[in-house]
Amino acid sequence: MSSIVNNIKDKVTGKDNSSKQNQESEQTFTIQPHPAQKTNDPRDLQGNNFAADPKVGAFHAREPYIPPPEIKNNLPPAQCTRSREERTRALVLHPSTVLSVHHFPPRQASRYLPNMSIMEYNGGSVIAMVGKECVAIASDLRLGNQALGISSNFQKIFPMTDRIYLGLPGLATDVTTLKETFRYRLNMYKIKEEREIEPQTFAHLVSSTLYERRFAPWFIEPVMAGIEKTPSGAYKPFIAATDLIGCINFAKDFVVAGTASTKLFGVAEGLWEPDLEPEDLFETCAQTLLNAVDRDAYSGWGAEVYLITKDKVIKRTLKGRMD
Amino acid sequence: MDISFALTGKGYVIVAADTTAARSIVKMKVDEDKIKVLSPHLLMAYSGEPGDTVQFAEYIERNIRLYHIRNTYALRPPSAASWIRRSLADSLRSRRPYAVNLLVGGYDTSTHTPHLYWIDYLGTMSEVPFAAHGYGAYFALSLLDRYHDPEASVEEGLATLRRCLDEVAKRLVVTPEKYKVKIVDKDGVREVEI
Repeated sequence: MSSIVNNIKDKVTGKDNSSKQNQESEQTFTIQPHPAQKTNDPRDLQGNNFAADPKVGAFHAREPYIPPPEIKNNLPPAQCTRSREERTRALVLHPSTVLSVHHFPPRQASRYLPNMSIMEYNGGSVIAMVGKECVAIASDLRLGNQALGISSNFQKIFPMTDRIYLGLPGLATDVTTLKETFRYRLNMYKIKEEREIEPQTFAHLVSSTLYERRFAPWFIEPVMAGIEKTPSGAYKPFIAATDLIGCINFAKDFVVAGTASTKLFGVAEGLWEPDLEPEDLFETCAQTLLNAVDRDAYSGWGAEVYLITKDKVIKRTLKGRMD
Repeated sequence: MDISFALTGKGYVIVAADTTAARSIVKMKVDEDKIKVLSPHLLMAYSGEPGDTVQFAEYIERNIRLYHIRNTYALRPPSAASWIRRSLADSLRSRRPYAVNLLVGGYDTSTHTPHLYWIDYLGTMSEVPFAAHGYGAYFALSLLDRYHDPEASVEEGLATLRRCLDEVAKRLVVTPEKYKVKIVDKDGVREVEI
């Protein structure tokens, strides 16, 4: 269409357009190879050509480089800029070059708690799982002093709002201190905002509370579970966990923490599936915890499970092995 | 090594602690009272680093007393234990922490229930039916698992305590020769000979 208009325009203006030919054949572009390469073929960039070159082959080998026999058999003997005798003489003549051997003392963990991990001092584990419009969070009930059991009724899960629950496995003194800290901070939040905190916001509150003590941390790895209300009015399950300095893990399936965390990962990986109904989720979560803590000497001694749905929370205390 | 035990029963808490004050391998004193009476219905057995123990126990004693004077009513056992725990937990992250382990036993005159709290120098606190600190814990806790009865009378409770002391005397290499035993119930605190 435009060419017809152009022809008419040319005739009207009486101008002989020499660029007419160029306009009719459409302009094309190609990607030019890098100046150092001949083509854009990715195979040419993999160094196959270089590998074949005996001069530089060793630097482009994709498997262990075996030098060809003519190179291998003609290697000169290992050389040093100075002979062995020369170096020995230098050391003797210049005593300052003799290095003094410095022995570092073995690093002491602490005066009171030698040779142990403080995260495993009291024992205890927590797990949280997502279901269909519901979440479950469960913990064991043991409090120990290393291998010695002190209490079989030490709670590690605490309600933060009506529909957010927080599990605090780790050093027991910090469990209590942090429980009190969060109670205080949530009360302040409620007074200032005149509403309950949302799970997402709460996760960041937990994170910043822990990061506040970046260089002298609380020895706790919190796990939280809750139900959040989306703007459309639907209910969305929420779980998250952080490490002891507050790095958040927003998981879609399950989160674990505590001395049995490795075992919990294994069992949860095998038992969990998406969109479990509340009662199925309870069973999955309870069985995962009970079976994982039976393989951990520092966790167990009974368990409790909180099942959070949009209209109610069910707490169940479970019997566990007492050994 | 100091040893302390405590157990609850029907309306009472028994707290027992050995009476030796030792330094290194030497016994310096054999009639030291290591159970403080914090308020009319509250007892605290303390053990741990010598020096820290008395210093910390007196600090707690005076502050609980101050609260009592200011408010006419003494702190109830759960509140007192929480405050004591918090003092230890705050101390733990100070430059020079107190190394003191505690057993806090009390009788709540409002709910008429005995309370016993196991607290260690880290500020770990747990409400328990029976508890022990020191090497005695390794023998007494399993024994108490078998013989403790939360509905036992004072006589039965003392008999169970006697079992603990005998077991420690039988099996522990360094046995304390004397214990101080105190009971707190609805009538307040009293000391008993065992």
